[in-house]
Amino acid sequence: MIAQYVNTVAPIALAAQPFESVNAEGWSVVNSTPADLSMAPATVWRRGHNQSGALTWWPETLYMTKRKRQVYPNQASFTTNEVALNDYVLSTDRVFNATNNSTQVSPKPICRHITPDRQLVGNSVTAEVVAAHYFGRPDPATGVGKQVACVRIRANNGTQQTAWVAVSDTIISTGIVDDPIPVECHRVTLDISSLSDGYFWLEFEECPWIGSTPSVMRSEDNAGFRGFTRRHFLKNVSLAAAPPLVYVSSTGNDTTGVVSTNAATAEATPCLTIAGALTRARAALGTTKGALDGLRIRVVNTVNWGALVANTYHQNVAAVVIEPAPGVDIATAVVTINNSIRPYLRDTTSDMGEATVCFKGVTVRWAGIFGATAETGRPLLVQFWNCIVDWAGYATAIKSNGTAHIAFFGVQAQNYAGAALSLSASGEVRQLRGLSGSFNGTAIHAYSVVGCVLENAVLTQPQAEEGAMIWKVKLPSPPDSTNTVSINASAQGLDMGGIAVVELLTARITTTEKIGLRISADSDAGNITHLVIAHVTTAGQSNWGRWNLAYDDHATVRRYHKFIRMHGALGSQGNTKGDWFAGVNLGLADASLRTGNFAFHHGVGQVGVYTRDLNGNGGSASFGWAYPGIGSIHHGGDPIYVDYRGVILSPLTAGSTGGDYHLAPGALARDIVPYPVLTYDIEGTARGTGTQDAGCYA
Amino acid sequence: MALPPVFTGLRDVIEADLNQLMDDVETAGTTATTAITTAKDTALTAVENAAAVYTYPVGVFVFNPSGVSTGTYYADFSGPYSFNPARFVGKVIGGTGSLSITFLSDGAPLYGPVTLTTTETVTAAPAAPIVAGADIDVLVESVTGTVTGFYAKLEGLPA
Repeated sequence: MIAQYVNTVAPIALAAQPFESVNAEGWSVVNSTPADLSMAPATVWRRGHNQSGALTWWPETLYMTKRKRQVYPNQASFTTNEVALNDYVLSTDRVFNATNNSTQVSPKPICRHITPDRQLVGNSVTAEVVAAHYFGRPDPATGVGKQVACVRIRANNGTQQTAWVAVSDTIISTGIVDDPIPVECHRVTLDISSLSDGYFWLEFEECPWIGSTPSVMRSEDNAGFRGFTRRHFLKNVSLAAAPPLVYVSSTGNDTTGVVSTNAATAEATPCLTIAGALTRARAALGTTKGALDGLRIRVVNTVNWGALVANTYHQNVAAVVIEPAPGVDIATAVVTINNSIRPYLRDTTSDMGEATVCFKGVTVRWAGIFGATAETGRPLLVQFWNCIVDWAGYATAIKSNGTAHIAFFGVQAQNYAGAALSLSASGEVRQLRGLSGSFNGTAIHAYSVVGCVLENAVLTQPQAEEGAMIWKVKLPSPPDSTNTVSINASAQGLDMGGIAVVELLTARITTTEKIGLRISADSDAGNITHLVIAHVTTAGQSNWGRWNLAYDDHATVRRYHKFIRMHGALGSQGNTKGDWFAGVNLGLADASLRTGNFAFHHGVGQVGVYTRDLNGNGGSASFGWAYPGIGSIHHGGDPIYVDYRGVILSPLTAGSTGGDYHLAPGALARDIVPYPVLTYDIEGTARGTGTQDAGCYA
Repeated sequence: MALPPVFTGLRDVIEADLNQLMDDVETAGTTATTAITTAKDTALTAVENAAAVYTYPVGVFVFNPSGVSTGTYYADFSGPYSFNPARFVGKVIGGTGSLSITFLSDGAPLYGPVTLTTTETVTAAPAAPIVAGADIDVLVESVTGTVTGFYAKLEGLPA
């Protein structure tokens, strides 16, 4: 109907907003009658996605928090008419009855694939992903915390596509990867019976709760194999039901070994080495494209990799899988790496352009410093899936050349000598999921670390322009001499990609003063563009295990940090530095311009954060916050863990491994987080709805 | 009297042929009927849709010689059925200047902001579907100049 208002009375007046306009930076507003910490509410409508990935509008109440201070040298005074909000307003938001000058755009979700691809499958395929996002929040329908609204997935072979499937709820993964701690993820199993046999890939779209179409992370927008790109599979129903088999035994023979789809036939005449098995498979299966796809090399007992004769072995999409013979356990099925893992998979006519070997369910034990070697023009991915990987004290990097890459899924590491899992100039550490063991005090590359328990190790990402993901990880005993987690860009002036540190549990136990979580601090490089720190527990005292985050105090290069979410983080001490420190402590000539941490310094995006001790320099605001964020408590005192075993300062006393970092009843950090942004805690316990405890435990 | 076997067989053949013939006729008739029905439905739908564009315009006509004020103008309460907005039409029809409006559905942004001037604004497929039962408002967010009258409406097809 058309409503008519002729010579009308006044319309219904809009509810007043507590400010006149939103500034371009998105986190502060102009208010002609500013009040400090008024907590005056403002309603905005945010463009975002619903649980099925459709665009929608979500209402949200923001709050006016701290009056924005002036920059150095007038840092002790407020600006005349500007006030911080508790969160960003975006350019796509609608702010009725006020002017929205925000130019900010919601960042794309931070996503990782966490299950192996390059598999031979029949009529269904399963994949899991994890995602973090600045605007994680409770599902409006259920109140359960979710980082993103949904992930949408479909299969595509270039001519045929399945329908998109949207998955909103997360689960605790079971049955695919042997994780030492529960991994919360999105899982989808697609029916691909409508696709013809052949190569296909999975496409993904991660949809944030808040953010319009440009803020969706789409696999089709990304190239290569490592990032959030397509996942590749081979569908062949009959081959998946009866793949070619070749057995390998210490009593076998590389000249007589039989390749057969009949297990009994193949088992009766095994090869002696993996190399022999590949040679016999090439002879039996031929040299056409993809001839070795889905080949299963079954290990009966302890066998050598062997020496493979240089040739072209034709593997296209599905990995050559090295697995235990049926009935043989992981400790018995041992592949001794007595030579380079060089399978000569160099069919340059392949659909994918990257060869793959997968060790699955076996023990891989090094007998020297041997690596994986890719061929010219044909990169190689070596997957270790539900394996024991025994370095036997050899410091092999595995990634022997620049195009040999590794990925770990559910791996128990033994006798690690420290070279394979750090960032190097050679191949990539694609994925570390479900990795456990002791790591000799070394640095492990934090590009994608999911569901791991890493003893005597630290995490580093020194080229964070590609981002970082630390998702449900325990670092129970970081070495004395190194910061626990360090993330920065590889050069000054670079924007860092999305960084997520979610449900990290660690404690400083040694007496050397080291940082627990360092992201673009001091002279580090890198502008933070999207950082999610959610429900971490970094136990320690004062500087021992502190957070140094989002600094802008480099001698010559200014940094710019934004979209930093700290939700339910629990630690010993927090520090951030900008104009104040640059002027008072460093005397930088351009100190007044060092406002790269200004939003963070004003508490924007910080919810329910708890620190034990004063920030650095005796609690000086030059090291800290003008306002810590809604629900946050800085310098709250002992958070009262059930069994704290970390370092003690008075007198300085080393702690020990172990302990119990649940919060004790009555602890001050309980129930300070007003709402959940995750469905499960680090133990896989459902977080439920409503208020949450700070730290990694529900 | 029973027919000789030769005639019985002939009768059975003829009967089978006639049955087949009747089946074929029925099938042909059904096919033809279906085609006609489909064509009829298509034609009717087109006509109905064309007509339906004008059956549920939702919007406001505002005239105030003292000048249109900012604020919310009710366009409809509890819309009778779900519909897909097919086009937006709006124009300043009194005074001078322009105004910025947004359609709201149960308070949420539905379409806009759009600036209306003395030249009619027409936009195709402007908004997401409006669900049955929604309250539709037109929010005048700002007025530039002296606008004494305007109209703004969404026209659509039943969903």
